[in-house]
Amino acid sequence: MSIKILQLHKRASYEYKYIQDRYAFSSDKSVFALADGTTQSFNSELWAEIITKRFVSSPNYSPHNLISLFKESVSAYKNAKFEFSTNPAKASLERAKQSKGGTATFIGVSIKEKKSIKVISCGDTNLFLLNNENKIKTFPFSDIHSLDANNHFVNTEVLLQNGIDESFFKNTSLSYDQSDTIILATDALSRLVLKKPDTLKELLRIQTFENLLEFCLKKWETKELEEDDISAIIIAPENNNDIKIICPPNKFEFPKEKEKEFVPASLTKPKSNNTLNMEMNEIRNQFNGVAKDMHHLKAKLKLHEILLMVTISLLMVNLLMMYLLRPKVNQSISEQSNSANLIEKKFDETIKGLQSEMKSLNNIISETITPNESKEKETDNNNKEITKDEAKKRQQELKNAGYNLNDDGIWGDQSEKAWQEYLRNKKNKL
Amino acid sequence: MHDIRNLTISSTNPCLIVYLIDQSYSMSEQFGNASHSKAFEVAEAINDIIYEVGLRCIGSGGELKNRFEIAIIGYGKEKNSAQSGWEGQLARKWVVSIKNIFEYPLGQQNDKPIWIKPYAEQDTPMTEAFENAKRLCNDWINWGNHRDCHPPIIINITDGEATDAGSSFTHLINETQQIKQLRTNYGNVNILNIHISSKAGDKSLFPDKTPSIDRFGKLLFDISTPLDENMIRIALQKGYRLNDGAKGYVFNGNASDLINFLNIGTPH
Repeated sequence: MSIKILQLHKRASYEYKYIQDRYAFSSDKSVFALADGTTQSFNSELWAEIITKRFVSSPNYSPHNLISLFKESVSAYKNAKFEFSTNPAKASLERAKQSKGGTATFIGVSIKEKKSIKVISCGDTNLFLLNNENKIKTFPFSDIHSLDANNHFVNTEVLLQNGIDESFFKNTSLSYDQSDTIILATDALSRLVLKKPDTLKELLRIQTFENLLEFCLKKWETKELEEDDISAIIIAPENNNDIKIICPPNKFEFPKEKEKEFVPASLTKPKSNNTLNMEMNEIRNQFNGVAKDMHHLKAKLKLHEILLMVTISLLMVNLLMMYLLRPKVNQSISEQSNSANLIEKKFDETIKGLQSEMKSLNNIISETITPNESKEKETDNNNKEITKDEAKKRQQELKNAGYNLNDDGIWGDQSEKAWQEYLRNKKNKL
Repeated sequence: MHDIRNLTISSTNPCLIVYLIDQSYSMSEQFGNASHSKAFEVAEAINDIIYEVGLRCIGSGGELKNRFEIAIIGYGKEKNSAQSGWEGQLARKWVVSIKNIFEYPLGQQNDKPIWIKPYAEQDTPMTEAFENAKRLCNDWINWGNHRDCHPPIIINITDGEATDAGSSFTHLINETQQIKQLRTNYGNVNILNIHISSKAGDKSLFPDKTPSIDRFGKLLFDISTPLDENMIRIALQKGYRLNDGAKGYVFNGNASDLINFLNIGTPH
């Protein structure tokens, strides 16, 4: 009989020492046991180890007897020392977990020489019997649905409270052929084989840890195999005595992933920050707007500046032109005053001439007439004004009478003297 | 699409659970026959479920594995506002890994850590809570290897009608429709709703057809997604009778239904 044990811990456990599946066997007695300690329970791998060893040392296929055997084993589990965490919250969990006891599945098998296999099982660890025609017999579960529906485990506290009855266990005897292969597998592997029976052939081909690792990694990656502890006992009754334990070497461990804390990006920014950011954006936008306006304003200001400069310069040119081209007012005034002075002079001279002529005429009159007459004449002359036309007419008459006079209408002393003489001559002729 | 039955929630493939908690004023009313207010019972239930998740994540050697990441969104504590429900050293964080959750509890009660305190303050801005959940789930799915993880689960606990759902609840319906379109390689985001009540009346537990209840109850039924296989299994274990197509919705649930509801909704 050849015996091959396959074991690999789940990646989340990192190291093989944390595997919760336990096995025990006696090649001499052809007794095998496999138990899967549940993660949810306290120190379950210890309980799994206790029950497998106890079964192999005292195999029993009567549920009643096996329950008693396991019940006796609970003290070994309870007496094991355990150091509680210094973290009160965790210590509380550990105590709570301890109070619920250790839990494991169990399958025990004896291979009898009379080509029969005795099996007793509690939980979802399964047996597969493969014959040389690749036909598979299974026990206790023949399909995934019934395997998943399993709700029976061996728990220390439930045992002590007599809560585990015989219905928790399933037992049977199976006949086998010498060329058959018997496989005991924990739940994850059993599930895979029930789903894809051909996987069993792959499993049987595994000869090294590398093969096992490759097999599990491939199946884990393709999600065909559940990420769980993987354990199988493969027994080939026909083969020579050979025991092969394929499990991780001491130094092997799965890489520990860096623990990164998930932070929800869309919720971590506090609303005040959001508001602040919004406000900042608003301020930035407004600032940009102001900057743009300023730019426009600057451009406009430059234009205005240029226009202003042009206007000022035009104004200055205008003023200069106005200054340069201003009319020479003083000169014309002086010119005007000069001409006025000349006229005034001329008038003064004429008046002076007339005054002198009047003086001479007055002298003649005073010489020719009596003082009374002269007084009358003087009064007449003084009272009598001669118009220019009259003067011109008299001068014409005098001229016709042979007096050498100008008929310019200006009645002076000479004209008066000539007119008086003419009048006297005329009077004398009469 | 991968078969979710082949997926094990692990620290390499964690699961996000988003709890939406109504913190409106009406939550100060007594919760059915319970001696405490609805707000108190909800806070207790959330603290319990976080502790329960911790129990599922603690390895047999005492190490906490980040199999779950949890978000708590409270709505109604402040007027028209939904915000992260974490307090103390976790305040201002939206999503916290289970490892960090147990590093920073708010305190201890009866030898158990607590993280959430009860609040019953203002109105019911449920739409904003769902909008935050949508953004959070979207970011989470698109981060790292999360597409290869269990789809996020949103569990909403309320006792009343949304005050920001818009006319005919269109805003709320739009948000939830967008959420339901978010998906990982293992399926779409799930929305579960529990309508707790201060009255002891007719219950509707995981119905498959629209129950005869008020219009907001009908809306919550409509926006809820069907229970997945795991949820159905746990619901059956807890003694609920389910028909095909049972939805993740409970109307008029009591404190016990609330705890069971959270257990059913939180993947194992």
